[in-house]
Amino acid sequence: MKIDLSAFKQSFLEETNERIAALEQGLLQLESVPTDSEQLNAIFRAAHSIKGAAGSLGFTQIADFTHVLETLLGQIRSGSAGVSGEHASVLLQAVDALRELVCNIDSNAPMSASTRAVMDQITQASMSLAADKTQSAHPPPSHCDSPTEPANARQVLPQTGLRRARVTVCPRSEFFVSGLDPLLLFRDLSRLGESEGVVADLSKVPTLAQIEPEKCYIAFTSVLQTSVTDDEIQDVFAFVEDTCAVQVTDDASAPVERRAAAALPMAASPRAPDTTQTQSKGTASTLRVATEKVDALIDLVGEIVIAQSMVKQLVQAAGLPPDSALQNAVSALEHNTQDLQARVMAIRMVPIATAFARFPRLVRDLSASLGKNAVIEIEGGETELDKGVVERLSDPLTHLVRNSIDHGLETAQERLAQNKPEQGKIRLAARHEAGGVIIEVGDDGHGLNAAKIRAKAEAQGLLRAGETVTDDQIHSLIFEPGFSTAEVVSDVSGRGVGMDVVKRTIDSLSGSISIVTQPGKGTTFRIKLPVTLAILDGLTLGVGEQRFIVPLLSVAESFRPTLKEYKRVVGQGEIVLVRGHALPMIRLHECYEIPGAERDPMRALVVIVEADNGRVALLVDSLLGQSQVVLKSLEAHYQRIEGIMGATILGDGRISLILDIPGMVRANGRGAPNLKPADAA
Amino acid sequence: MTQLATSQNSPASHNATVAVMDQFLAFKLADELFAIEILRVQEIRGITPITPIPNAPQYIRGVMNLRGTIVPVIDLRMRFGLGEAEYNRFTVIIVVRLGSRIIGLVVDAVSDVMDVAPGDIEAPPDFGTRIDTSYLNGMVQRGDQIILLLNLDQLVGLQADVASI
Repeated sequence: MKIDLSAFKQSFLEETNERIAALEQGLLQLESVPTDSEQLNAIFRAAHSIKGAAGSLGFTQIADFTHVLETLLGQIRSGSAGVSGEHASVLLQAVDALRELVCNIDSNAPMSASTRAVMDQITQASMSLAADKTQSAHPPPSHCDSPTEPANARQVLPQTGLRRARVTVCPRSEFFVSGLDPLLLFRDLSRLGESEGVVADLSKVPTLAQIEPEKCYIAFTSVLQTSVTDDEIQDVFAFVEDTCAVQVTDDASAPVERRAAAALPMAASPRAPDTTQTQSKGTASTLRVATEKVDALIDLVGEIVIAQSMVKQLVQAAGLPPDSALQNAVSALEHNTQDLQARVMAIRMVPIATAFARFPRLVRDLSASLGKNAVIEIEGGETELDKGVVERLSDPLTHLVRNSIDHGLETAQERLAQNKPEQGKIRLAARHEAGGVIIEVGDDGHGLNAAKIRAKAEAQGLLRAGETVTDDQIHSLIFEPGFSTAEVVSDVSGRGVGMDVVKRTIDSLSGSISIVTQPGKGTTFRIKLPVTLAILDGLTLGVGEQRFIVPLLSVAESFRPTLKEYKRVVGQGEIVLVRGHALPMIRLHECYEIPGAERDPMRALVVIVEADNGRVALLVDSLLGQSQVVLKSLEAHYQRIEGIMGATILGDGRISLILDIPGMVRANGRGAPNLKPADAA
Repeated sequence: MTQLATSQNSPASHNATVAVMDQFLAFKLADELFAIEILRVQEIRGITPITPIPNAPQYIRGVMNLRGTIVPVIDLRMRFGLGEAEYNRFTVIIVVRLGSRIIGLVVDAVSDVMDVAPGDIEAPPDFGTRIDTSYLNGMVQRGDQIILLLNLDQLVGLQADVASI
């Protein structure tokens, strides 16, 4: 019967990628504690599972590669030296190669040269370990113990040349619940050779009153006369290895003698319950749900919120007495709808740790390749953000960290010369603050050199010589495209491409990035983001017949300017004076060509909002209240527009555009930070 | 009569017993008749309030609210340079599906649903019509009328979407 295995491919990919990540994490932990037996077991199991799954689905390249990896891990696990430094490097390379193989799973190309090279390296390491071994493995720290046997040389039966392998199988108590049957396993085993019988260990079977029929209390041992390797025997158990501990060793005892059950010293395993716990800890009740389903749900809830606000508006317009049954019902509806929306939004929240997870490895690799000594400190991984935001943060964060290591941190000698600790510190931290999230990427290196930046900026024409700018403004020049003060362009950074992309990504997430730096002490990039993009607190502005929404977080204040506070400046447009500061004024009715709007600032309203480089004043007709607004992207059916974050549907069915202030200011070429009151005409 | 009520005008009913026909929705635009495949048509609405959007080509009038979805609206007269018209109560918006997008097309009025056999479709004329033939998939003759079949994909040549970084 040909089974269509393609349906399983998706789960295989998901699970394998998780296992690869677990492998990598385990290896990084083992670098600090090379003999951590729990980690050694964990990484071995990860490799073993990948091999088993890949083999059964026919992904032979992955299976072959992982087989070699598993062999080495098995040797390391059963040895006493733990993971050596060279092993760690080779193994991490193997992780990368494995990831590549999984990425290219659909291509029929042969293994790339680099992957093959890694495979060879692993095989080499394996062989030298085997050669080093004078004493065979003492039993691996697993759940089943069996008598230590000096099985150095394979016990070969004189008559047939076969070896005798002792297979010990300890299923966990939930074995049966998975629908598994030890009988079938042994039947498969019996195909590999001749079994001298199966002996059961009943030591863990409780009294009749305590027995739960769905639990497995029995362990089994069988001695097999076979010519196959231990690994091939282990393969029989590939699918069950999560619920059952299997150990295969050579049997040095006299052949063909059935042992009495009592004589088999199965470890009364107080350990078994522990490991059951640690195994199932990860599978506490969670549910895998495709993101499209959650997104569809969120969209639908957004629609409900809009429809509900339309109902509310209509009911209010109907002019019923305030306590009428209908009004009460509408209030209850609003309350429940808002609750529903909050909970549904929470579904998409994931801890930012998922974005932070790759950094220990990245820092380790980069430090090595750039000749710096750096360590990373991570704080606040549990801070939750919308999944989409977390995914898009990955690249900017990577670039900032790379930048810090490459250009921020000094070399070890330079640091020692400055009485700094030799090891540089990269800090990655996240926390909630005032309706948003703050993420900081910092280093304790030499800080930004304002003079150097200034010089470069003048050379590139971004600044006029002698122009007065604040230090903050100088620092933010590094976000200009093409700007880089790196003397040496490494392939990691220095081409001036990265920082402006970082800024644009943060902007597109409706966030902001600022720099705090001190020469000689270090630099910290502070990213501020809204928690979620789908709803925001907005202020509704009226301009003629149109309605616009501005994120409440961006709004500083609003007022009606008096004659003294409004000025036209020759060559610079119109400005508004706010407590002595001149802010450029943007006429929304001009930007969006809206007829019928109020043109006289002294009869209109000015709303002060935050842009990138300071504040700007927007000229509007009226303020129409604040509300929570469901943001609908224009990109679904149209395209992105600079200056517009999205749109929403108001209670009366009209569409209102949501302004992205920094984008709008850029698009209008305004927001000049250099105006001073003295320039006012 | 016990004939099955498989009306030939019911949309999207390709019976095996009838020769393979494609169905088209015809509409009027500046005294010319055009048609688009009915399978692409999601719905037809009377004119609804349109909110203008900035930095858009002239023929994209703005966006409209379609039961909670924000849908861009294209004025076909302006798209083809056929002269502007006032929107009145006869003006109609045909909502069409283009891939994963939904777009509204403003037309003067909607006409019939027609069955067209592939053999009936002729090449568009090189002259005699006011619009660029690259927007046309062909033409069909019905009586003394000529109906121009629109190529929707050519029509809506929006900029590369989603300027994601």
